[in-house]
Parts: sequence; structure tokens; C-alpha cells
Amino acid sequence: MTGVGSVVRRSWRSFVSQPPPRPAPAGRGREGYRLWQRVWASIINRQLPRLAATTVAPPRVPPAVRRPVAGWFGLPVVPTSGALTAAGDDRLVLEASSPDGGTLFLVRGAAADYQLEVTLLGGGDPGPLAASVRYAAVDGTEWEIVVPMPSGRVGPPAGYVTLPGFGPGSTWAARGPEPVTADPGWSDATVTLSVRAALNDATRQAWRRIGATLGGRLGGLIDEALR
Amino acid sequence: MSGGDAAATRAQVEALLAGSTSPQAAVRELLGERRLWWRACGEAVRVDPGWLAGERSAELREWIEATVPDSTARRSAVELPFLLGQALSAPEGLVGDHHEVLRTLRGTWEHSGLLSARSSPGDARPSGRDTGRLTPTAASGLAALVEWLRVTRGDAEPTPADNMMVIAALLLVGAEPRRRPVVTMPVVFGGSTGTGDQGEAGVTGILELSEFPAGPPGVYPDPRAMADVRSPNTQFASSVGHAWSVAGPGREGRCVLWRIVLTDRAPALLRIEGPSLGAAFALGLRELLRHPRSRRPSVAGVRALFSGPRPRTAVTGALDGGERLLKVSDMEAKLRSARRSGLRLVAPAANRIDLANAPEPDDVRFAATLGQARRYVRRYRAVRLATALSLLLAATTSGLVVQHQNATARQRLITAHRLAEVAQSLLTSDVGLAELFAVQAHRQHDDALTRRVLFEAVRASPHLASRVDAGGPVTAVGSSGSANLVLAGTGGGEIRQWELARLRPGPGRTLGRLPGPVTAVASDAWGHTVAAIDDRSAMVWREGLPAAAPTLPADSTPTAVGVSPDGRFVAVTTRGSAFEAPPTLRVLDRDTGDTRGLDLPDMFSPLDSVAFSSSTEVVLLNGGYSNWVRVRPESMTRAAGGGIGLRNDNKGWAISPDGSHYTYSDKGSPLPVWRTTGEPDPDKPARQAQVPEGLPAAVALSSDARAAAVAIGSTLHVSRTAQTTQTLAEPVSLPGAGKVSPGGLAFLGHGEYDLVSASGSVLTMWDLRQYSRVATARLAAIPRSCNACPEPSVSVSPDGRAAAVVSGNGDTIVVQDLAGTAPGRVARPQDERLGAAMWRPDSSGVVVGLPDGSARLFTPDGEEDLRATDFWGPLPDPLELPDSVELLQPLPDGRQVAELDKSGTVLIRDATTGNVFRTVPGPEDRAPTIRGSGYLPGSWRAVDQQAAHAAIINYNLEDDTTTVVVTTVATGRTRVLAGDDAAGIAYAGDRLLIQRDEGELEIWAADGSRRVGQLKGTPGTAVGPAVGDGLLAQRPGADDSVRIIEYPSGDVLATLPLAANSKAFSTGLAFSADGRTLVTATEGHQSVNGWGVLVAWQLDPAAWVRAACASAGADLTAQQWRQYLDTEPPADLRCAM
Repeated sequence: MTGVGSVVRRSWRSFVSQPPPRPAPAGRGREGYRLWQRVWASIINRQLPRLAATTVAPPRVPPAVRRPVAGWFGLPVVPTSGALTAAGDDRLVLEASSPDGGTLFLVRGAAADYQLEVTLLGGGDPGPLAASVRYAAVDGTEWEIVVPMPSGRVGPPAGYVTLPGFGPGSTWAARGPEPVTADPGWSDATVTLSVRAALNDATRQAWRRIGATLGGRLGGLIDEALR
Repeated sequence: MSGGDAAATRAQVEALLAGSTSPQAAVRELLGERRLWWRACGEAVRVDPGWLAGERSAELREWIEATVPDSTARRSAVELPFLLGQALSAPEGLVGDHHEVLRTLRGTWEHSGLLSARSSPGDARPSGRDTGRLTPTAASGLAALVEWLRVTRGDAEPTPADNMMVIAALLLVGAEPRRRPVVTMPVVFGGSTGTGDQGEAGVTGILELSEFPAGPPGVYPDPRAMADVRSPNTQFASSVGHAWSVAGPGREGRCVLWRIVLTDRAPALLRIEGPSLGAAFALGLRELLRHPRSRRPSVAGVRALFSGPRPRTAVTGALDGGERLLKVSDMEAKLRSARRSGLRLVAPAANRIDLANAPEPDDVRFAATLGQARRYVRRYRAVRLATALSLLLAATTSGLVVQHQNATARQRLITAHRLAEVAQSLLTSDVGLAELFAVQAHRQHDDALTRRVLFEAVRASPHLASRVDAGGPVTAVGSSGSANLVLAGTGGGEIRQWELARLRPGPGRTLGRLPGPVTAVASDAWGHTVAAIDDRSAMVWREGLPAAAPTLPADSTPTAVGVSPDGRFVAVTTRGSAFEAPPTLRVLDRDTGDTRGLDLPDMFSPLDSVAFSSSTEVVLLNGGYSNWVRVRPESMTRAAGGGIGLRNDNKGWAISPDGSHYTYSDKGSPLPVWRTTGEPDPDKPARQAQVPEGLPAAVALSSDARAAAVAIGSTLHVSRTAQTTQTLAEPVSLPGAGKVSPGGLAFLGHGEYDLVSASGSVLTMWDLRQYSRVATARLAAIPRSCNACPEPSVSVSPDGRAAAVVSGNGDTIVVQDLAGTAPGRVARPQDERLGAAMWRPDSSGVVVGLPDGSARLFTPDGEEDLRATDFWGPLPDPLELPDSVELLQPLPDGRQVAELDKSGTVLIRDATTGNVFRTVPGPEDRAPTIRGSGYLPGSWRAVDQQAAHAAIINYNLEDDTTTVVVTTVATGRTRVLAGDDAAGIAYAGDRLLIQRDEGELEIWAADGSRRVGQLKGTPGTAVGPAVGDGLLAQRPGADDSVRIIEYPSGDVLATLPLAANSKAFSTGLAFSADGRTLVTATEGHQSVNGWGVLVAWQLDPAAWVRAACASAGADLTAQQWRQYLDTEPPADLRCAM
């Protein structure tokens, strides 16, 4: 064989797409694609979407979320390994619904960056609504995030938040959405964390509405966090 | 564009929102690859500007802006199409509030940091290309925008932001970038790209470049995807400007759009900084701009199919304003991200030191210039190239192979037809050679012509039995008295012999060699003793071994030789060298070993023929002088002598093998034959034979002069002799004998049916009893029937070895073997009219139907008789209206039999018990009456193979016409077909064949529902068609012959002779089960008790080849090929393979 730059070697490496050493992919063949798929992609000059393996979590027992109480329901755990997900625009890793099917919980993201979209199916706007999720982060810290439901005339109400510390294997539970009462029982830390976890204007608008509804200390806390 | 189509994108948007359970997913659809929001705004500009001014669009805009995640910050992507669309679709042009909006949008681009004046040389107006299909509203809005840009900048030069506004407007109103070519270049970014914490340093992406013909010259970000991207300083824009400047001369006047899509798990691309994309832009632009501006196919397009940027090689590097690559930062992060994405990285050579500790050096290539980087980035698409070359090679090879095959096939066809022509031209002169050429023609190409010529060749000169090559020119022929041996002497002095088995010579054997050309050869009765002479000597062989020969006087020349039937005496006549020396007879007595001589001074000239009339007397003939002498060899005394004296016109002579007669020819006819006893009267020969006039090459007499033969030209003429007071029989002509050598003709042994002739080096055996080389003929007990009776009914046994024939009037059945000489077995039942016959499946007997519905089984009884036993019982017939059985046909399953009666009724019976499963009545007007059911010859009824349909020809007495009636057995429906002149019918597979009187042979669907074709048949056909394996046989009523037609082509294969008969319906036809043997049964001609003729023709080309090769006796030689075709022969000229 000639040097590394030879036409023969470059053609061969291009043909077989020999990768640098790295952990073996979970799928079959190079990066999860079969030989014929890669040959055909080469012929039609298309770049195959990269298949990424779901992050493999360290082999440990995940911390359990606090024992659920009334109104709370458990949600499926994001798998720690196994299926490949196609990395496109929408990196949806988990889709679950409330027991009554009226609320959809969509988890997006990868690695240490997960987002939660809570969609209220069926719409309606009787007043400020909020859902809550509790989960145990990989370091054992227990988190509670309140997700307010925006209102609007386009699409279903959906709050969009980030989930700090959330990861594969994290057990989690949720409740709501339910109307926000004058004393929702949220701690100050939960309120601050939840407001700052909002990921779009619609969710922040929902917080403003809740803040305006609650007023008082919590309302101020929300305004403070929104600034 | 219709109203319905106008809102197509908007309908998609509404459907998406109505059906979505995830606003985030909906936003991705609106702003992502599908660009539904952009398309909806553009659609509104073009066809429904009011929507952009309505509440719903504003509501959607607000919702998208509120829902879109902070990380993507696609505010501009939402605002740009909406606000620009509102401006472009303003009803009074760009007035009012839109001025400020446009300034804002332009300002956004001015501060994006993505544009460089160096890479944006456009004049802020569309190029004019690909804008022909804009709607009037869109075109008006676009023109207003261009004018606004011109007015607002005043005298200043157009800015890159102006160009971007034009480009965005063009895209919004419907102008499209070219879909092909699109160049993609993998790129890598260091850690500072993007926003916030990305978790991993460095990301990878794809730089995509496409041409936008409608836009102003330069390279611009695609506003649909890059509206929210910003660059904080001028480094990026400068690098793009450098890339544009080194993109080559092809960039002039062309507009290129670029966009970058991140492929890692990174947030949306919002910020680009640094010059490291300069090299990627430069290489991508060069790749894109290699393609011509027009859409026509080009060399660049073809080249791009087989070479182009590697999809998994990223390039990074800044440009120095020229083609040198400058060092870039964050190389480690870039390398890590490239490795993470499985990319190879091409980096500036100046960064080599930064990557000195790279874990996989093969992952990085260092380039100092753009040219070097290009070599690393580009690649030959080996798979595609190999595939294309393979396809090209395969197509070329296939083409060549097909062309070669076609040329070969054409050449073979031409050669085959030339060979066929040669074979046909040789049929009358040299049948054996004609057969060899015909076989080669058929082997070269099997078509109607070569099959016809091959069949013609094996039928030509039908009495030719076999040929054998003597290995040299034959100068003398002879045979043993019992005809078990044929002898030949050659010009080379060789004496060869062949044992004969039914006139087929076995392997030849050379007995010995004489010094000179052999002039005569003779044998005793069984071939134990053979003698031969040349013009100097005589030799004798006993049991194949040399034996003592007669001693001859010195200076004498042998002139004739003979061997006594018991082999004791060998007689040689000689002539002396001295003038007036008398002829001499020298006789060797093999018992004593003595040779004694007898001078014959009264014979005047040399004796030229010796024939032993018995073992005690030899006859010597002086042919030229026509006198003879009889000598007793034991005593060497003269017993008698005589002659008719010198004949000046004597052109050829012969003595019979038993010495009893001799003849000479004066070229006239008849041929006189004299006895060799008594004193013959020259004007009154004892017998004579009818032969054609002409100069004979050779003359022969059989023993006792029962037959004479002459060779004139290449034809032998054989005739029975008769006394002068009797009528002379016409001679039998045997053409194709070749040029017969002098003395090269003789009857074999003492018979008068077998002859041998010599032509060149070939000996030909002739058998006057042979009917044909591909047919056998037998006399059979087929008596003449009444004039109104149909032809005999023939049925061939399943094993093809025998045929059963029921005479036309149904009083006789004969079962005759088709091969061998066994006599036929005959039965003549009393008071029973035999109907159709059907063989048992094991060929053990024949079932014959009777009018009362019963059947008899005829099986062999002794050597010449048939025994009749009851097979089926009679059917109930309370009205006593018998219906004779006209056809019995076993069905393919073997368990049932189809019976067709004279009335047209079809019965399906159990093959063993005769129980009737089903009865389908025939036409009403054929129902049995006390006068019967009317006339129904054998070729007037047919049943198809499955007995699904039956057909008969119905004779209409009133108007003397015939019509075809088809019955569908399953439904009982009858159908009368058009036409009133049907002469014969038959089923061929799923087709019904109808022979018309005028000659047409119509092809119909089996149920008679439609006519599907027509063949040219034989007018006035009385019998047929009979159906064989791709063949039809039919007998013209006015001719004693059978015409064979290939089916379905309609080509005439041959016309075969039949025994003469004056009755139209006198010959029955039937094919064997395999369809390759045609049996004709012709009833006796003379009397009701006479014998008919049963002939079995082999109609299989493979059998013809076998017959031709067997009779030809040799293979075609290369010399013969060249002589007749003047071309080089194929390597293999063997006849039999």
C-alpha cells in the first residue's frame, strides 16, 4: 500500500468511511448504517444523518424521588442506554402523558441539557394554570420545577422549561396542570428556579400572569426572577 | 395560480397548528427546513397580500416569537418575511410606515457582520434571470423596493445590505435558488461559536452554497436561514470577501447564497466569528462556480458526478488575501469536534505545531495553500466512477456481444441458405453429398427452408440405401453370390471389402494391394474366396488372408477374373503381348493347387467377363465382339460357345452373375438380352428391358437376367426384363448416383433388387424394395370401400409401433406393425359395422366402438388374427335408432374417454366400464333417424384434447353446403360458424382448424367464438387437417399426395406421395402420440379384397439427420465445402453428432 495520501487509500477510506478509533456504535455497521446504505449514499452524494447513541449513564442506582403524595403521578424514566435517536431538529427523547391523558410531557435534549415541554391538550383558559414536576438529579439533589401554562389563541397552551440536573435514569413525577391558588405552596427557591428555567417568552408571560394573580411576596419574587 | 392553490402553504400552517400537540415542534416546522412561515408570507405577497395585513398573520407572528426558544432566538427569521412581505405588498407601493420598517431591516443586515463589500459587488437590483414568473403584484413590489433603495442611498454606491434586501425580496416573491448544483462543505468551529455553554468545545456543521440566478452578483447569506446570525467583527465578512476574490473568473455576474447548518448537538447557529471559514468558502465557491451559468448539461456537470468535495472532510483556514492559508485559533477544539463527528480535518500548515500531539495524526492534513487544501478535500467518487465504468463496460460489452451474435446469426443464416441451395442442386446428381450439405445447412440454422431441404434430401432417390467411401477411385466392383459382401478395387491397387447387413455396410477391410489399378474383382458365393487382377497380376485371398493365385504366362495381361460359387476354382482370362496371340483362360484349382490353361483362339479379342454358371462351368464373354464360350474348369474343356458377332454400335455390355445371359447397349432402347446357350439370333434377343436411350456409363444384369440396369449420367435405370412378346415395365430411376465409373455397376449377389454403383471413391448401395430412408411402407388388409364410404380410420398405438386401421366401410380392422416385416393381424367381424378405434394405454389392444353404444376390444390372436372380446355393453336404445361411433379419444387423465357419435353427440365415458358420465347432444338436425344421421367422414369431426369442445361438419342436403358446428361440452351450447364450404376440421391445442374448399385454413378459438388467423392451405382438400408436432397434414382430393404444412407458420414442408387411388376419400391420416410420425392408410385400389398400403413417415428433423448421415456414409470434407461454397469451412464438419 502506498502512502496515506494515495488515491487508492483515500478512495478506499472514503468508500468504507473508516472512522477514527472511538467506542463501538450500538447499531450495526459504521455509525449504525449498513454497508449498502453507505454505498448508496455515496452514489447519490448524500450525507447520512448522524445516528447518536443515547448517553450511557454510569452504572448506579438512581436516587428515588420523594414518595408521591396525592395528585402526583409518576412519569417514565429516560432510558439510560439502548435505542439510537436520530439527531435532527427535534431531539425528542421522551413523550409521556398524565393519567387522564389531558397533559403531554415532552422531554428534549441530550447529555446534561434537557428541556421539558408541558402541553395542555384541549386548551381552555379559566385562569392561570401551572404544572409541577419533581425529580432527583444525578447527584442526588431533588428538584421541583413549576411549569406555568401560557394562554393564547394559537396552538395548545404549553410551557417550556429547562430541567437542571435531569438525566437518564432520573425518576420523576408530576402533577397538574391545575389552577394557581392564592397559596400554591411553592417555596421561594422553587419559584425562583422555576421562573429562571423558563425557555421562551410564552412561558415567561405565563409567570407574569401568575405573579400578577398572586401578588404579594410570591408575586415580587416572580418579578424579581423575571428581571 | 388558482385561489385554492394560492393558500396552499397557509393551509399547511393552519393544519400544522391545529394538529400539533407540541408548540415547539410546530415552531420547528415553521422556521426549520420546511420554512413554512417564510413560504406563507411569500405566498401572501404573491397572491393574497391582504393576509399580511390581517389579524391572523399578526397573531401567528406573535405566537411564534413567544414560543420560539431563547436558545434559537429566531426573531429575525420571524420578522423579516413578515415585515418585508407587508412592505412589498403595500397597496400603494412602499409608502407610509413601511419606510421605517425597511430601514430597520436594512440596518439589521448592515450590522449583521456577515456582509463584505468585497464579496457583494451587486448593484442592488435583480439580475433579471429567472424572474419571469413573478406575479404582477410581486413584480410591482420588487420594483418599488429597488426604487426605494436607490432613492434612499442617493448618490452613494449600493451597499451589501441593499443587495441583501433585494435578495430577501426576490426569495419572498418566489424566485428560487437552483436546486442543483448545491455544494456542501463540512466545517468546524472552535469553542467561541454559538451561545452560552455548549458542553463540548467546538462544533461541526455544513456550509451549503447554491447559485441564485435572480440575485445581484456576490456571495450572500441565505436570508431564510441566516437572518438571526451575527458576526461581532469584520473578520468573518473579510474572509468571505477573500474567498470571493479567489473564487475564479467564473464568479463574474453570479449570485451565490450560503448557509451553515450545525450538525452537532449544538444550539442554533447565532454567531460566527473569525476568518477560519475563508478556506471552506473559497473551495466551495470554486466548486460551485465550475458549473456553467446555464442549465444545459456541461463537462463540469459530468465531472462533478465523479469527483467533488469529500463529504467527510472539513477544512479550516484563513486566507491571506491570496491563496495562502493562515493559522487559525482553537485548533484543538476544532480537531476534537471533527473527530467527534467522524470528519477528517484539513488545517493550515501553520497550525501544525498546535496539533503536534494530536492522538490520530491521520485525522489531520496540513495545507499551506488553497490548492493543497483542495487536493485533500476533493476526491474521486470511486464507487460512482466504478459503477459508471462498469455500466459503460457492461453496456459496451453487451452491445458488442449482441452485435457479434447478430452478425454471427446473420452469417449463419446466409451460410445455411447457401448450403441449402447447394444441397438442392445436388439432389439429382449426388444424393449422398446433397444430404451432407442439407445436414450442415440445418445445423447452421434451423428454419423452414433448411428443414424443407433436409427433408427433401432424405426423401430424394428413395431407393438409395447407403454409401461408403472406398478410400480411392473405384475401378472395379463385385459382390459375393449371397450378397453378404461387397467388394471394391481402387485405382491405387487396394482391394477392400465390406460386410452388408440389410445393405448397410459395416466397417471396411483392406484385403491387400495389387501393383496396378484393380481391373476386376470377384468372390465365391459367401465371400470366403476373393480374387482380383490388375493389368499385370492376379491375387487370391482365402478367409481374408492371401492365398495361392493362378500362375499366369509371362508377358500376359489379365483381362477378367471369376471365382466358382464353391470357391474351388479361380479363373483368369489373359491376353498375350504378341500380335494375334489368342486369349487364354487360366484356372486355379484350389483343391490341387494346379493352374491350367486353355487357349481360346476363336474368341478373336481379349475376354472381358468371367461368370461361373455353376461350380462346374464358367462362361467367358468377349463383350466387344459379343461372343461367349463355356468351359468346364475341372477338365478345362469347352462345353459350348456362340455369339451374335461384332457389333459396331456396342457401347456397353454385361454378363449376368450366373453367366446365363449377356447384354449390350447401343444407346438405344429397349436393351436386348441374349442367352449364353444355343445359337442366338442377333435380331431376336431372348429378353429385353425398357431403359432410356443414352450412352451408358455402365451396364449390369441380374442373375437369370430378371432385371437389367444402366447408368446414364448420374442416374441409374433399373428395369425388369421381359420376353419380346411381353409388355415392358417402365424402368425405376435412381437419380443421384454420381458419375458412375466404367464397370462400376452391379447387382448384388443373385438378386434383382439390390445394386451397387461406384462413383469416384464412393460405393452406393441401392435397395429397390426400400420405400424411403425416412418412411416404411407395408401392404395391409385395407379393402376398397364403397364410393360413399369415408376414408379408412387410422389410429397409432401410444408406443408408436403399430397402427390400427378400420376400413372405410367398417367391415375390417387390421393392426399392422410400422417397423419390421411381420404381417398384419386382421379381423373381419360379421354383421357389425366397426366404428372409431382407440388404443389401450399400454398398446395391448384396440377398442372399437359399435353403433349400439357397445365396444369391442381387439387383441392379438396368433400371428395373423385379432380376437374380439366385449369391452363395453350397449347403451339403451328403445327407439332402435343406432348412432355409430365416429371418434374415441382418451382424456389426459386416462380414466375417461370422449366419444363423438355420428349425430354429433358427445359422451364422456369411464375408460374401463364404459359408463356414461355425461351426454351432450349434437345439432338437432343430426339427431338419429331410421335413415341414420347423415354423412360424416373422418376429417369432418374433431374433439379437443381435454374434450371441452367438439366440432363436426354438418352437410346440408337442401343447399349442398357444409357448415361447422362447435359444441361446448360443459354447457352443451352449440355454435354454427360462419362459412358454408368447410372441407375438414381438427383441433390443434386450443385452436380449431377449419379447412375450406377454396384452400384457406382458418384458425378459430376452440369454442368457435372468433377467428384468430388463417393459413394458406390446399384447395380441394379431401382429408385433413391432421395435427402433429407443429405440423399439419392434408390430402388434396384430386391428387395422390399428402401435403405437410408447418403450424402455425403455414410454411409448406413437403408433399408426400400416396399410393394411387381414384377415390377421393381413400386415405386416412393420423399422427403418432408424439406427433412426429405420420401414418397414411390407403385402401386397396383394385378390389374389395385387395391390399391397401400403410406408410409411416418420420417427420422429425432429428430423425432426418440420422437417416442422412447413415446413408451418406461419410462426413463432408473441407475440400467439398470449399468447392461448392468457396468459403472456409467450419472446424467440425461431422455429420452425426
